[in-house]
Amino acid sequence: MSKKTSLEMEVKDLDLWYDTKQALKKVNMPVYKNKITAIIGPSGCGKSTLLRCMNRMNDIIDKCRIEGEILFDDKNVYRKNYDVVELRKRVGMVFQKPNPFPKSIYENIAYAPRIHGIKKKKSLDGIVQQCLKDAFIWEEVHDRMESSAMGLSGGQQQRLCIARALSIEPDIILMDEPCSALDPIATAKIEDLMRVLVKDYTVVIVTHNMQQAARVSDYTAYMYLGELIEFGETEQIFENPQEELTEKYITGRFG
Amino acid sequence: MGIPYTPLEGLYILLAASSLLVLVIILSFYKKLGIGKEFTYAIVKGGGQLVLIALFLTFLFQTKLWIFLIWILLLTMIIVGGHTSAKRATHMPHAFQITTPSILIGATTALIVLALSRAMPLQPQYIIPLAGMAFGNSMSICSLSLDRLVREINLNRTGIESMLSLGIPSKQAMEEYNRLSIRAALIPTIDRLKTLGVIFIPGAMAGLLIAGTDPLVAAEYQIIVYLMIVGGGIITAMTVAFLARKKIFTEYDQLAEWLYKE
Amino acid sequence: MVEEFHNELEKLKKQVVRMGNLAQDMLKKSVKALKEKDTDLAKEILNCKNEIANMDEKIEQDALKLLTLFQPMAKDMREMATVLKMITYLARIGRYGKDIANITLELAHKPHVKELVSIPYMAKEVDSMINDALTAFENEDVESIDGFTAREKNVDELRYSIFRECLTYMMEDSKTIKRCARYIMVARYLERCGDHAVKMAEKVFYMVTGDHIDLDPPGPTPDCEL
Ligand SMILES: Nc1ncnc2c1ncn2[C@@H]1O[C@H](COP(=O)(O)OP(=O)(O)O)[C@@H](O)[C@H]1O
Ligand SMILES: [Mg+2]
Repeated sequence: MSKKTSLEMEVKDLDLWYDTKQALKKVNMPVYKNKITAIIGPSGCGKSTLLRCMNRMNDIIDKCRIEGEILFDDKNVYRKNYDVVELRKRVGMVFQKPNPFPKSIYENIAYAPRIHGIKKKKSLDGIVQQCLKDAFIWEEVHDRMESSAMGLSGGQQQRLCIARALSIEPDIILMDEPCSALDPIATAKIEDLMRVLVKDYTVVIVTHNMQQAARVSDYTAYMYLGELIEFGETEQIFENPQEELTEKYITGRFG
Repeated sequence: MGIPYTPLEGLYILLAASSLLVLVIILSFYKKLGIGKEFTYAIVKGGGQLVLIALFLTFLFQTKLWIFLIWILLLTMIIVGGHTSAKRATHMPHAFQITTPSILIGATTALIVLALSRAMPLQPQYIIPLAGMAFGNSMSICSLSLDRLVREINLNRTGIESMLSLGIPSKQAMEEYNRLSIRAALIPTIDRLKTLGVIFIPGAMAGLLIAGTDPLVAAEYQIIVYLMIVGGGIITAMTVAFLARKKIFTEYDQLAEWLYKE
Repeated sequence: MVEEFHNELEKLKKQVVRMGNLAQDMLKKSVKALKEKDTDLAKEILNCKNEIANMDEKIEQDALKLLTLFQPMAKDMREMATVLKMITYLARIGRYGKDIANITLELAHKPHVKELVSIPYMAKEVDSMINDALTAFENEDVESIDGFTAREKNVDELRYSIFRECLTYMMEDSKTIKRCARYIMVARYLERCGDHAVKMAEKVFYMVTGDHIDLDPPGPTPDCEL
């Protein structure tokens, strides 16, 4: 695991308030290239908030205040006039509930590349095929590319959404509890997929399932009440956490 | 020509017609429909407004000052229209910033076309009713499209977020919902256009017929008016969609907070 | 759910301590039986053989069931791992007790070469190490295993001194060879039990702190020709 690691993104002293409620408190966290980083912690501790900061999808503005920085390519993504559309092309996201567009399987993948200027049918075909293959779903859908994505099973839909996220060739893929709506077999497929994807991408995943975090991730961050309590190599966090809070959470002696 | 009685005779007739109102109120009370009070209020308010405007119009038609006064009237129309329509988007902050310009642009375009095509002579007798129709129609189309747009965006929040997260700009992300809202807003107008003369004789034509105009001319005029209404309406709905983006998304292409309260 | 797991884990640890006490008992009594040529006591120990094997089996099964059902993590996981290792060491210690009891029965018809002193002394040392390892496990406190490295070396030394002593007897009088060979084996068994105590101490240390420790670092082996 301790192969050479380099930073892909870095969260530095990040504070975030929703109105008067502070949802993130001085969070510092590295995101290493070609590694899977898992964010764990009890509900409402700010996992999704932190994740959404990374591609600037936090859904609120007027009452949401942010201090600190997130460095990506040595630039703070919270700098004024930062091009968030460009950022999101490089930091893709997969949501908790599978949410394919109500379009054909083909269109789901081709949609974003086309808007981003790839118009040639042949190039699009290539991208669609590659993304579906990379997301381990090509075999299951190649003979029904024109049928609606809504007809797929939950697990297939989620892999389709991952394929869709790949279609913009991002550097980082953020996943917010991507398996929480799936059965164990579909979950296992997505976990396998993550381990393969991480060879070419950097992955950050929020999960409620500690076994999942332990199985798939290289690094784990434990958050509690908006604070990042502990960050470390996954083995260390799950075998021998240094912080008592982490220990308590991991062993279920909580509250 | 026109309606064959004086204002005084009209008042008697009005009183006679009011007996219908009394009947309705009694019926409503008896059947416990619970609309008696509101109905009375609406009639009194609407009637009062009409009488006031009639008095104002009487004055306007006689004075040379109408050139100035008509602006006050138009201004009132646009402001009232903008605010009424803005109430459709309950949580959108300063929604009138969208509705007012949308109604203004749509209705004004229609009126300018009418004026240039000489369908609307520049006399208060023509300007005022036609402007009323243009503004009124633009207002209802504005309300419909804004309501539909906000509803669609809310229903498809996750879909839109997925698009945003794929680096698709907000403009493209809401394109489909714009189309839906514009179409939805125009449906009543188009339906009415289709059934023109069958289900009902529209206001302008009714007025003209009552005034004794040749039915063919009246029909022509009604078509002109309708074209203006549809044209102005489409412009209004498009302006709503265009302006609403700034309210629905933040400066950084995030869905805005107020949507979450809808 | 989690509550239930922690209750079960507590029960499991109590079982381990009970098994530990039995193993300790078997070893202690076997040396006493040897010293006093008490064949009844030796037979009693042989009867414990099944009991400790059953405990080993039962604890292992319970532990595996808990692992499957709850997939524990962090300290819970370390406790489970320690339990599984401990029972193996304890079962072996019990078996050495049984082996010493068998030797007692073999030697019962003849007097000792001389009164046994070193072997009981060595047994006492080993027993106190086992005891300290079990205490550390029970109290989740690593203080009592502090001097284990030195104590282990000491036990090694005792084994070699017994070995050398026996060599002298055997060279002097070949009739003692059979008995002395047995004494050497007993010393060897006790030394192995000491090693197991050290291993248990290492596991307990891991359980409590999460860190791995080597309490028996490779050093110069005592000079001896076998
Ligand atoms: N849009 C919002 N407005 C106000 N508070 C919010 C909003 N989103 C999240 N929060 C609050 O911020 C905290 C962190 O939320 P979230 O990041 O969703 O937690 P998690 O994903 O760890 O369950 C919670 O207490 C939540 O109530
Ligand atoms: Mg969440």
